[in-house]
Amino acid sequence: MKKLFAVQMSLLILISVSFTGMLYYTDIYDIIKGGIVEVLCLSCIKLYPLTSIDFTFETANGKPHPEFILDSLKDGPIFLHYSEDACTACDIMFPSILEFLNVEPEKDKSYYKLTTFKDQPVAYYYIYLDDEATSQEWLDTFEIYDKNHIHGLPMFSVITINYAHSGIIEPYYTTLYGAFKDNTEQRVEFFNDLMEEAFVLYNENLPGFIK
Amino acid sequence: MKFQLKRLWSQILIFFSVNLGALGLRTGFCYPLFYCHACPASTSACPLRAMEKSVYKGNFGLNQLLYPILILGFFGSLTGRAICGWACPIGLLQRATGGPARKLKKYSIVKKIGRHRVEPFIRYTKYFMLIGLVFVTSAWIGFMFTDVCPIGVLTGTIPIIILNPYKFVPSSFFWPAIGIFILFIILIFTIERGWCRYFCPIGAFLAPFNKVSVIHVDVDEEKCVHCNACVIECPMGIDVPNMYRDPECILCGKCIEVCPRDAIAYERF
Repeated sequence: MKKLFAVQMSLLILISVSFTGMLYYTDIYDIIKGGIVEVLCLSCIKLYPLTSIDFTFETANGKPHPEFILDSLKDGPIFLHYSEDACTACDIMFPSILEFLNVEPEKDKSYYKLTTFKDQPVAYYYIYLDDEATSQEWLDTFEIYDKNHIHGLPMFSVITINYAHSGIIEPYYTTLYGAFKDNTEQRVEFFNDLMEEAFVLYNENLPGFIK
Repeated sequence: MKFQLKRLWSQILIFFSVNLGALGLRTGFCYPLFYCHACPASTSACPLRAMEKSVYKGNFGLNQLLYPILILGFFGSLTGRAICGWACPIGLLQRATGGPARKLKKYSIVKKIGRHRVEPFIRYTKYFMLIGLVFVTSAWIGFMFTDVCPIGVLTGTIPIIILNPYKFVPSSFFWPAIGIFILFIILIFTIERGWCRYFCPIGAFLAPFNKVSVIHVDVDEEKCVHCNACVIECPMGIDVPNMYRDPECILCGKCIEVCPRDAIAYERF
């Protein structure tokens, strides 16, 4: 009986101390909150967001487009690619993006490259949410361009420019989520069509945007 | 207040507290029970998901592995599987669906199946689910359990489809998961606490803690007359008079309430 009591007390003390220590000394609370609770787990719901390429001017959380996005838009349309740790759909889509934009990011490191699409410049941002080196400015764009408020990964945003009702040429974007299409070839073709549309708008409106 | 009514209140209150995400409360804790963080109203994370992520495709994240283990371990070493009986929303659901299963228990064929010598071995399925589907497949193949989890369908998929009718399309796991979900529904209507008995990986994790938990159910062998009223009442199908810190016991207290000789009681230490 005394032996069992000693085991119970030791276990409770060991667990309580370890748990308190983990909360105090590690960022596990934020990792679980940011990586599991606040991001919609697409594999848990067995659903993928419906892929819709409707462009919009309105940011998802109402905040203005970040400065680095506005600066990059002067070079060409932008392709934002969001991913995270242990995400099956991210792993499925990753090679398709590499092939589509001819970029070579490391899977677990955020990355930027001014690449090309049919000899025209495209600013590619790979934003890996679990990379501690990712700047807050980049991370904030996840909320800004989460067009359908899905909060799911992977997420892809294509940003171009268009003539808004206000009479000003403004950033115009669409966002896609999850894994879609059956293979890399089909995905590349899909992104090709989307990017071509982005370039048509971009080339039409660039003179007014730069002014 | 009757004892089982108190338990019902506890289950209902905890059901509402795990759904406080509907009011905007999102925490970085893991539930010590079975509930899906993909539920639009959830406040915390499923411990199984954290465990899966910790070993995903051979990567090893010690913090993500230890964190849910410590949370479950704390409650386990304090109360054993009482979480299953007093807190788990899936336990509450099975309490509601237990009626038809109890009626079925009266048929001799069902009794025979229940007493079959293979039945205790089927209970080991939940340990296979925990080790095989949560850890092994995640480490070598990729997520498997969360892709087909019936609790994910119930608390994540269905509410999301209802709340966002035209925003999502089925993934390749959708129909297999629906098939498993239908089997889950049949299971909980035909076998009392069928999910807890045979398949729940969190139950499997908590079960060994019954051997050392501070609170447990104890039978006074001197008072017991082996009337078996407790065995008939036990939702987990335990041979209560002969149990000592049984890993299957969910500390629901039904045996305590039904015992005519007050031979069964909660004990500390």
